[in-house]
This record gives sequence, C-alpha cells and structure tokens, in this order.
Amino acid sequence: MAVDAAEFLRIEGITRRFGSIHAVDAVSLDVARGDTLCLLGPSGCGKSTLLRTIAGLEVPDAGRILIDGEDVTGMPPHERPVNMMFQSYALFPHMSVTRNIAFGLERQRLPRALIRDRVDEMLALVSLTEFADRRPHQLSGGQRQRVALARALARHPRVLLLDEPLGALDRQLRERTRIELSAILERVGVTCVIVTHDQEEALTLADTIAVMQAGRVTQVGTPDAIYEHPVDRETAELFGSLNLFPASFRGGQLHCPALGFSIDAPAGQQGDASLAIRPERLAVLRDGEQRNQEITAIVERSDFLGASRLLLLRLDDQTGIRVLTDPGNRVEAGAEVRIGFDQDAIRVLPA
Amino acid sequence: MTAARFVSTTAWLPLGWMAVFLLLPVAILLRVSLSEPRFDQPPYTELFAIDETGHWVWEGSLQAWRWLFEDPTYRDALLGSLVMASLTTIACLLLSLPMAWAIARAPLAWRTALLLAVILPFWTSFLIRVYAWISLLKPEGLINTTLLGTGIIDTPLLILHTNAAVLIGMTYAYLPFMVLPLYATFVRIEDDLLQAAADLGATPWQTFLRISLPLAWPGVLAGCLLVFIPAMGDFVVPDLLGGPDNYMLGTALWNEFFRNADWPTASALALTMLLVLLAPLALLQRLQRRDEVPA
Repeated sequence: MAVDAAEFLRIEGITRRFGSIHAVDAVSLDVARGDTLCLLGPSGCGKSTLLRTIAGLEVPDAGRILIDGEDVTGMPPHERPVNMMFQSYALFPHMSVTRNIAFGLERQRLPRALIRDRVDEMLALVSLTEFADRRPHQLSGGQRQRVALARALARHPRVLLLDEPLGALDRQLRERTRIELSAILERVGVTCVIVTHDQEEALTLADTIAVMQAGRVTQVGTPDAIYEHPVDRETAELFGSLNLFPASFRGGQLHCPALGFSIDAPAGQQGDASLAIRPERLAVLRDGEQRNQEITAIVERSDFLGASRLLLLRLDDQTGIRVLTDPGNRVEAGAEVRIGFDQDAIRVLPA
Repeated sequence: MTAARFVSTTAWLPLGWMAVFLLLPVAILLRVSLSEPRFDQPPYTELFAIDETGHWVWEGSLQAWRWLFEDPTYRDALLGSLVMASLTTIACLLLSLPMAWAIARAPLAWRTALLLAVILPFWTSFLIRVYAWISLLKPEGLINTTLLGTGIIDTPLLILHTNAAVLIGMTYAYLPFMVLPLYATFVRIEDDLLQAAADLGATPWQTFLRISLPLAWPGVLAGCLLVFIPAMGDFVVPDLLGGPDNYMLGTALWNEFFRNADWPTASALALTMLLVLLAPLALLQRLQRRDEVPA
C-alpha cells in the first residue's frame, strides 16, 4: 500500500525508556520520499536511539514506525527494508571491501552475477574500485567511511540511516567528505535520516532538520528556517555562539536595558524574554559610520582566528558581548569601540 | 638499563627455561632411547664402552625404536590417543562455543561470576575430580540410581571403564581450556559488527557463522590445541575411567616405565609423542601468522 509521498517514513509517538530515563519521548516525525531528515542535537538527546529504533536495533516502549504505509515496528532488523551506516562504520575486519559490500546482497540470495554487478556499481559510486580487494585495516579513514556508505546503499534500502556519518573523520577530511556524501545521496535519491551533533553537517545535508533535546523534538523545519528563527536558546546555540540579553515586555514594548533599546512587541506578551544576536551580526563601527542601533563597549580580548577575529567586549553594566569581525580589524584590548547592528538581526527567544 | 637491554636480557628467561626443562630432558630421553634395558642402576646400558685396545666403541642400540615401529601395540596406542584426543577436542569445542558466547554476551556484572564458574573446578585437585566421576558413572553411582529411580532405565548403564567414560572425563577436564580462549576472542567482538550484520539482513545464526566465528578463529585454534595436546598424553583419566579396550599413549608410556621397567622403549615412545604434538603446534604458528591483522 503506497501512501502520500510526504509520509514515506512515519515516526509515530516513539518512546524509548532506559530505566526511568526517557531517551526518546513521544517523538513523531514524517519524512517525504527522497528527502533527507537530520536529527540534530547535543549528545545524549536521544537522536541515536531514535535512529536505532528505525533500524530495529532498539525496540520502542511505545509508538510505531511506518515505511511506505507498512508498520515495521515489530520487525527484526534483518527483515527491515532499511540499512544503516554506523558511526564506527562497523566494517567486517576479516572481509575485503568487496565482501563487505556484498554481505547484504548475499543475504538476499541474489544471483552471483547480479551481486557482482551491484558491488562494482557501488565501488564506482564511492570511487573505490581499485581498493576492492583491500581489507578495512588497509584503508584510510575516509576510504572506510565510503565502504560503509557503499555497503549500506548496496541493498537499495527504502530508508538509509546515517549515524554521525562524518563523526570519525578529522577536520580536514570532513568538509571534502561532506560534499562527496551530499553528492552521492543526491545522485542515489534515497530517503535518508542522518544523526549529527554538527550544525554544519545538518545545514548542508538536510532538507529538513529536527532539533532534539532531552528526548523530545523541539523544532522541525528547513535549515534556514531553523537557523534564522530558532524557537529557544538551546536551539539557537546549536548553530554557533550567541549573545543573549535579558529583556522584558512592558506596555506593548520589549525593553532591553543592557542594549538601551526597545522594540514594539506583539500585543498580549508578558514577562521576561531573551534577545539574541549572533556575533557575526554585530559590527565594529569606524569613525563616522552610522547604524540604526549602536552601543559602546570596552574591548577585553581581541583574538585572531585566521579567517576572522573574535572580540570579547564588556558593556557599562558588565554584560559580556562577542563580536566576530574582519581579521584585519586590529582592535586592541582596552580600547573603546562603537558596535552597531540592524534591528532584523535580533531574535526574541523565551527567557 | 635501557629498554633494549632489558628486552634482550629478559629474552634469556624463556630460552633458559626451555633449555633446562625441555631441551635437556629431551636430550636425556634420546640418550636413554638408544640403549638397552637391564636390571641394574641405572636400568639402561651405556652407549659407549672402552674395548681392550683402549678405544671408545659404540654400544648403543636401536632396539627400542625398532620395537616401536614393529610392535602394533604402540601404533594402536598412538591411534587410540589420536582418536580420543580428537573426539575430546570436538566435544569441548561444541560445548564451549555456546558457553563462551553466552558468557561474552552476558551483562558485564554477570561475566565475572560465569567465568568464575568455569574456572572454579581448578580449586580442587584434578585427581579428586576424576575420582568424583567414578562415583557418578559407576553402575550403583548417582547417574544410574537417578535414572533407575525415575524409571527411565531398568538396568544400570555400563559407562564406567568404557571409552565413553574416558571421553566424558577428558571433556570435563579440558573444557575450561577451550572456554577461556574462546571467551577471550568473543568478548573482543564489537556489538556494532553484530548489529551491522543484522542490519544487512543476516539472521542471528548467519551472524554467528559469518562474523562471530571467523573473528574468533584464533581463539578456536588456541582452544583446540590447549585441549588436544594434553589430551594426547593424558594418563590419569584413561587409567581411572577407562577399561581394558582403552589403550592410549599415556597408558603405554606408564606401562613401559613402571610395569616393564623398559626405560629405552618408554623414552622412544615419549619422544615420538613429542614429535607428533609438534605438528599441530607448527600448524598453529602458520595459521596465526596468516591471520595476523594489525589493529
């Protein structure tokens, strides 16, 4: 029974408890056919447990998993039409690259010729044809990652699961591998669920991001929607550092004493809030330069980061601010600077 | 002392050990095997004598070695030992695989207790444990009285003093030597690998055959040798539990030394056994070198 393409993979109220801890707490998500969903959150938020539940490696205490309308909740992992790429890659050390990729196909009892063709196709897809006879320990980290990907894709899974696909790679390799991975996933067009704690991975790989915290999904949306309009501080902080200022609603206005600044607030808002501004949205103003919002601050530290410069500033009321600026902007510690920003850089978050 | 110095110094320890407790005894065995028995002290003849012209002459004899190859008793003993040691190894392997697997996959808190249960019998003397089997297996023993009592059988099973009793006793005695190396390799297999196999469509049984067992191969080899080698030369179990139709190398050796006081033949037999046991050791060396996988 085929269903609406927007609900190709349905996660319905999945709950998984470990003792008294709710690792996954009543999570519901839908993934459209061919789309990539990223589960993003800090470690321990339950994202990997949810992924393993889809694979059948964890049995949920409540809820259902449906793939293309079929309830797979009670199905053991070896019968599910999904394949997973493990964070550790979990390559079989006693088998060559070819045998690793063929392992899943052999379990399907496909004809030998077909298996050989499929393995060749996968080797070509991940550019490892000349490494077919190597054992995993004879490969580099990046090559192992590609073998793991090829092995998971070989069975043409209906849903591909990737657990921290770039997590085991060092920094230099990550960006290149991410671009390759993105290209491969696009070419294959498989429906995909990716677990990551890395915001860049989530932003670049996902069609949809689901932010998880403490076992719950706190926000679902496109990468730019979540980046631009996070629902709370924790979500905002997943995407890099943040300047937060206490503020309060008063008389139809949101007032922020630290910034000496008020904006019109929607009617009926009460109590306290936080104003958030990303360090890169603050600018150090040169003499004569004007912005619609300005504050002055004392430079406490000025750190050269290569591609940028991070300034730690202190306002009169001792509030600290981080500003990311041009590395050539040689501001010395102790100097007084004017900081400007646009009103649309401000996000209002729950306190 | 530098590290290299330390290594080269400590390397002499195993070499010295081997020289004193293996090479020297082997040399003595070889020397005794080349003489003839006599009723005297020592109970074997000299290899050389000085003749009337004052020259050293060879007085040794290949009699013992000739007997070894001509008398079918020894061939039968060798064959009996090979068969019994092989059966013991197979029985230990079949019992140990599920045991070691279950221990390795048990929750961490359980593993120590389960391993202890395997090792605990070592706290008691080997001899006493074999004697215990006599009282279990004999016609009026625990097994027979239980079976008779429940009405499963109406005449006692004759197990004691048969080859079956030897097999049971040796399997019991050597089981820990199989369980421990198997456990050691099973426990190192990452859960991820087993889950990946399941994820790729392998049933639990297929996962065991294609992933766990091949990865535990060094443990299987080590366990088989640790059981096979002592089983080949075992004397206590066949002597206490075996019957007249059970003739093994250990028994033959004992008979030559103590019953016949034929030291040369006994020495030749002991050397032959050593040579027979070198073959599986050499095999292990080769297989392990082939399977070496740098981490």
